[in-house]
Amino acid sequence: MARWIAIGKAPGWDDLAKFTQENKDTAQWRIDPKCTVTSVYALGDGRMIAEYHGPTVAEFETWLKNKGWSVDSLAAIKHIAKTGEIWKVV
Amino acid sequence: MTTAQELRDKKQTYWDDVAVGHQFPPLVIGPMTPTHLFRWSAAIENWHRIHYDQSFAIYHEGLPNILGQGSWKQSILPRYLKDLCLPDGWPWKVTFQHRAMIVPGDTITVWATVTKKYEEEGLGFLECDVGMRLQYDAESCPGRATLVLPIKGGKPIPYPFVPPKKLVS
Repeated sequence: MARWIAIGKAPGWDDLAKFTQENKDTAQWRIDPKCTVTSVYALGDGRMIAEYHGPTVAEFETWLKNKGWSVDSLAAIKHIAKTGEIWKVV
Repeated sequence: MTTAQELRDKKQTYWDDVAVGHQFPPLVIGPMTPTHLFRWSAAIENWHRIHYDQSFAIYHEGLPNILGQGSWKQSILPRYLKDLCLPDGWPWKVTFQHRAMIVPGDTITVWATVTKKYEEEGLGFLECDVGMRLQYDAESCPGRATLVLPIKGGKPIPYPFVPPKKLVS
C-alpha cells in the first residue's frame, strides 16, 4: 500500500474541538475501503501534518481539498521508524 | 447490550405473532474500542497482530486500523438470534458472509427481518435475512437464518433440537 504525507494548514484545526470534529468519526478518516488517513498532527506553529495510505494519492488530495487544507507539501513516504520498529513502505 | 436479567425476564415470541416483513428489535454494539478487540483476541488466544498491533496492521498490512475478528462476528450474530428465540425457541441455522471490515470507532447494529414463515410437524419456522450493519450503512455480515419458535397451544420445541425429516436433505 502506497503512503503519503501532507504538510499544510487547515483553518481552525489548532482548536481541539474542531480537530476532533474533523477527525474523530470513522467516516472522517476512512475515505473508502482502500483509503485511510492514518494520522493527523497539529503542530505548535499552526501547521498540520496528515499521513495517508491508499492505491493512489488522488483520494488524499480530494480529502485535503474537502477539508479546506492549503497544502504546502505532499510527498510519498519511503520508510518509517515507529519507536524502533522499521516499516518499509512499498 | 442486552443484560442477563433482561434475558431471564424475556417473554417468549410466538410464531403466530410474527409476520413476513417483521423486523426484530436490533442489537446495537459500540462504538468499538481497541480494548474490545484485544479482549476477544485474548479470550480465544488469537494472536494475529492485525487485531491488536496498530503499527503492524497499518504499516505492514496496509489496513485502516486494527480489525475486529471474524470469529467475534461469528459469535455475536448467533448470540443475537439465540436471544430472539429465548426462552423456548431455537436458532436452527445461520449462514453469512464476512464483508466490510470492523475497526475501532465503528458501531454495529445486528438485525434480522422475517422473509418467510411455515409450519412443519407442529413447529413454527421463520426464515430471516440477517446482518451486522455499520454506522455508515455498510453491511458487514449479510446472511440468512432459520429460527424455530413455538406455536401458541402447540407442542414444545425439542431440546436438543431435532429438525423434521422433511427439512433435512
